[in-house]
Order: sequence, then structure tokens, then C-alpha cells
Amino acid sequence: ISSDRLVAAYRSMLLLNAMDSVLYDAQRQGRFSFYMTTFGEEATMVAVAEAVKDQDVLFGQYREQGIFIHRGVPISTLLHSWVASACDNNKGRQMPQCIGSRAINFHTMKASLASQLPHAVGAAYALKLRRKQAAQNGMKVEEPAVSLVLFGDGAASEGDFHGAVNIAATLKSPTLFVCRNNGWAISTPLAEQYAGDGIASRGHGYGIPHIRVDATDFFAVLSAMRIARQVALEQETAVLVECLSVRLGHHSTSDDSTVYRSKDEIARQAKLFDPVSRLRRHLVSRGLLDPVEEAKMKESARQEVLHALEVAESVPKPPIDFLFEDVFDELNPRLKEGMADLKRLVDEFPDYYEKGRYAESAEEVERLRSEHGIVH
Amino acid sequence: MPRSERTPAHFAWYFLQLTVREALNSALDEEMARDEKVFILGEEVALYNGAYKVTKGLLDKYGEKRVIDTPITEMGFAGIAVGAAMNGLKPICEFMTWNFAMQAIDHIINSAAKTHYMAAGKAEVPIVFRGPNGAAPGVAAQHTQCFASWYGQVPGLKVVAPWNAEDARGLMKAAIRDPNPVCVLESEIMYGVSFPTSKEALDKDFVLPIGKAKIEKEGTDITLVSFSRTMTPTMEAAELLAKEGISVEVINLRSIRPLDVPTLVASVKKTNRLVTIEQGWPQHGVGAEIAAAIMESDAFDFLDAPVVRITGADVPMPYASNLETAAVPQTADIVKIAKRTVGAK
Repeated sequence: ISSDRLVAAYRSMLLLNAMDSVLYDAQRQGRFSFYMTTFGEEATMVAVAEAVKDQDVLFGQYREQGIFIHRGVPISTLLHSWVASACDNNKGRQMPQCIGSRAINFHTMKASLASQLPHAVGAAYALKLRRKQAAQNGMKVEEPAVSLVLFGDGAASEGDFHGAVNIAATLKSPTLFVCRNNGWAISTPLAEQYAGDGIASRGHGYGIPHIRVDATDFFAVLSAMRIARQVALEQETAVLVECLSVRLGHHSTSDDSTVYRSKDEIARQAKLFDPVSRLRRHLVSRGLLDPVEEAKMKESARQEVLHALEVAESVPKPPIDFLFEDVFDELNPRLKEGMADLKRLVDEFPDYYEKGRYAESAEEVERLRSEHGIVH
Repeated sequence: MPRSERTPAHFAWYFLQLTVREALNSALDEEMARDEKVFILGEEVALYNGAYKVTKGLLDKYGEKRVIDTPITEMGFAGIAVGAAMNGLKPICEFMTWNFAMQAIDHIINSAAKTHYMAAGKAEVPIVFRGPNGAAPGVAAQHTQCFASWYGQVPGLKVVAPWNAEDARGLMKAAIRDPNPVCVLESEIMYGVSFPTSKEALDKDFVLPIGKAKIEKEGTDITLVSFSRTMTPTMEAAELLAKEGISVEVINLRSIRPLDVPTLVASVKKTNRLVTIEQGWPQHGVGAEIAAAIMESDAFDFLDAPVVRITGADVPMPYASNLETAAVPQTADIVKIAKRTVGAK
């Protein structure tokens, strides 16, 4: 990895930290409903993002905003989703953390735990089949691509883990299963989640290549991911990568982890298992980073997030039409009727429905989106 | 004595302000004390005291053999709970929300609900499935679905939906004592809301009959019927309507299955008009069942207007706060429809 990309990776980690800090506080202030920080897993996020190619298809669980950042989706685009403005790529429909992006081939995340695992297997199969059919039909063959899915240690207990991995193995589906084992599922520690040797060892049972990496080490994750991708494509197989880290923050803004682990323990682990400071030490030792430059990077990251939040909050809310569209490909009579009824209600009770707060038309939304440089 | 050690019995002499959460917690506590076969399992129920703190203090009191933290697999632990119920225990299986129970629905319906019938009475499944159902703020489509009509359809299941603290205590205790599988559809929004609760409701043997609705407010001009969280805007609407001289009878269903049709019929015979209110989707909803039942009964001849259903919008729940408000029945909607139904302006 070039020095430039390495420094860019570090910058992405700082930006992720800034986003986490600012948005966590913003939630506490009541500005939106929910947030999940990623402290302790920065290296996993950025290394995975660095290892994938544009054509790879990505699936996540709920703690993967770092991948969006390092793959180049601007913070200014992301924040519209937490705030649910008219510029939101999710049209005001998805709860926080459930972002997706066409630009980086990342499927919109959902709250249903582990359901993304079998989806990823299906996607990988589709990628494989499309290439075979294109070759057979003498058409342009797409670049080889993998399907990559991230999930946590707790999610790996769900029945969908079994179904997905077993079928990926038997179908020879080039799926990268990347487990973010951060030691906790809300308050449930690993000892209560499974009795086996972590998630990696399950790969042996399913007959697929598997590896466990120290995810506080950016380079370890990066090399494991690159090799895993290569193996998946060359050997036409699923691969399981278990990234070991410690969840240094709370599960979410709905959790106070000091209830089940001591502040001292958290502080101790923050010293030992912080991927960001580990990469910093490496960069400093190679003369690629100096303290003054780093302080500037941190400050500019923070300002970028603060500014993006302010801007996102100033944008009107999504139009009422977004409530009814996209349930199906077209509005059916009941939905059309519902939309007309609701618009009448809104006109009749404008104060109750806070009519002034939101966009009024699709045109206005388009204008706002281009004004704010939204990346799809 | 520290507040945490007081049980409702200590307040037996007057009306106690009890939150729905405290009501559920005390009901679970009392039933576990009463019958050692009763145990609780689910995610985060033990050490964490429950994702919503409904099982607070129970691990400390009853130990890890009776309050069990499970790995994350609803399908897994619901199946295990049903197996335990079939073999002499009385599990209370918590779903962090009923949305997640869709992973386990095969066990709820095929393993629990149908078993007594399919085994020709030889097997019993005295299990309680519980958790928050329906809307919670700002958590969008996969955390806010209302499952009342889905489970309400199933023969072999009983389904209750408490609204206030008294409902929570009486229905939970009844559910635990019932030899049939019972689904308790709670409401996250209601957990922190407190209600004055009578001495009678605080008694450790206080149970409410499953299948019986409660007339929360008597009236003569129109009947409004709802359940769970949506009772709150319905009661508010009734008060606003009273100010305009419209006398509203408000019925709290309490049970979705069995549905207390006789109480509804008697009310319609008195008021001649009926509006049902629910948060769930319109098609095949609870209101649809009520409207059909009224039409089929002799209350039909007493109707001066068609039964009207107020329901949630026919869309997955959005996240943006303005869209979320617009997707769920509000007090203003209920007032407007009630007035239209009585022919008032």
C-alpha cells in the first residue's frame, strides 16, 4: 500500500472518529433518534474498504459507516440520512445506521439481524452466473467481483448464519463473510454467545477457507482481505474472515455499557486495543505523519462533520409523497386515495402537521439534492 | 426501605402511581415466586435487566437457572422454550421486539399454537411469548410493525394487548397462569407511562380475564374502540369530543384473541355508532374483524352509520419524524372521524 493511501486511510479513521463523536453527542441532545459508534473497529472498516474493488457488492449489519467514508461517500451526504432531510438517500424511510449507496455498491442496510448473510450469498451467485452467461452469449463479461458481507459476533448465532455459509459453501459462491468480532452483543459477552473457538473455526465445519485476524492491526486486516478476495475468485469459494477487536464504545446510544463492564476495564482496553493509535505510531515512525499535521486533520474532520450536521438540519424534511411512493413500483388505488386524503388533512390542520417544515414536491427535492451535492 | 425493595403490596393502602414497566415487572416477579416452574429466557433479560428493563432485578432474585440470557437466535430460543413448555415448565419467552419474533414465528404457530390440537390433547404448551409490539419513535419499518392481527388470526393462541398498568399486571399474570400459549403484545412507548393503580390491582392474585374488554369511559353518542398504545390518543379524543357535547363510550379491547364481541355489541346497541382505531395496517386488521363481527351480529340493526376503521397508513413505517406522524392515527384524526360519524360539523 502506498504512503499516500496509508495516510488517506488514517485520515478516514479520524473522520470516522469525528463523525462518531459529534453524532453521538447530537443524539444525546435529542437531534435524532439513534446512533452507533465504531470505536475499536476503525481498522476493520477502513481496511475492508481499501481492499474491495468498485465492482464488488457490499452488505453490512449496522456499524459500517466507516466503509462509506473511506470509499468516498461525503459526510455531507451521509448526515442527511440520520437527520432525515429531503436530501436523504433513503427518502426519510430508514432509521439511523441503515444507509446504502449505489455509488459504492453497498446495499442499504436493514435492522433485521443477519438477514444480510444469505442475501450476500445470493448476490455472489448472481455475479457468478451473469459472468458465465455473458461469456456464453459472447457479450461483454463484467470484471470478476465478490460479494462481501459484514456481521457481528452476536449475529453469527442467528439461524441465517448457518443457512448462508452452508449454502455458499455448497454452491461455491464467491462470498466473503467478514465477522466483526468485537467481544460484545449489547451486554452479552462472547462466553455467553458461543462455546466454540470463535467464528473462524466454524468455517472448518462448513468446509471453507477461514482466517482470524487481529483487527487492531490495519495491515493484518488489509492483507487478509486482499488474499481472501483473491482466494474467493480463483478457487470459486466462500471465505470466512474473523476480525478480532474490542468494542470500545457503548453498543449504541440506547446503551450504557458501564452497567456491565467497569470504566477502568474500558479505559484499559482503549489503551491496548485502539487501532487508530496503532496506525498513528506506525505512520509517525515512518515519518509519514507529524503531530501538527495530525492536529490539523483532526480539527478539520470535526469541523467538516459539525458543518455537515448544521447544513443537513437546515434542509426541509421529506415531502408527504415519500410516505406513499415505492411501496410498489406504482401507486395502487388505495395508496393514491390515502395520499389524497392525507394531503387534505395536512391542509386542514397545517399547524398540527407542521406544514412549513417540509419539501412540497419532487422537483424541490431534486433541486435540494443537487444543491447539496448528494452522492447517490 | 429503599424503593427498589418495595413491592406493590407495601402500598396496599392507597392508589399507587405505577408505570407499565413496573406493573409488568411486579407481575413477572409475583408469578415466579408463586410457581417455580415459571422461568424467563431471551436476549439481555438477565444481567442487563432487560433491553427495556422489564425484567429488572429478577436475575438477582431468582438466579441464573430461572432468568436466562440467550445467544442471538429467536428461532433457536423460541423453539427451546416451546420444548421446555411441552415438558412441564412454564417459560416466558421475551422477544426484544415482536418484529424480531418473525424469525421465530414457525415455533410460535406451528410448534406452540397448533400442538395441543395436533397431539389430540396429549401435549400442552403453557408458554408466554412477550415483548414490545407496534410503534416506537424513530426506529422505522423493521422495529414498528403491529402484529395484533397476525397472531389474532391463529386458533390455539391467545393474544392480549395491555394498555395501562392495571391491564399489564392483570393480563400478564393471567397469561402466565393460562395453560395455553399466550402472546402478550406490550408497547415500548407505554413502558414509562404511569397510571394510578388500585389496591385491588396490586394484589398478588389479581388476574384479569383473557377475552374480556373494559369500558374505560361510558357514553351514549358513539363508541370508540382501541387497544394498547392507541388507547392514549383515543382517550384524548374522547375528552375533546366531550367538550363539544359529544358523549363518547371508549372501549379498551385488552384481548385481541378471543375478541370480546359481546361487549362491543352491547355498546353499539346503546350508542348506534362505532369507530375502531389501531396503529396497524388497514387490510385484514383488527378493525376489519370487528366491523365484520358487528355486521354479523344483531347490533347491525342498531347501527345509524357504517362502522369506520381508523388505521395506520398502508406503508412500511418511515423514519423521518414528519412522515412517521403522518403514518399513524393521531388524536386530531380520531376527533374528526368521530364527529363525521355522529353527523356533527
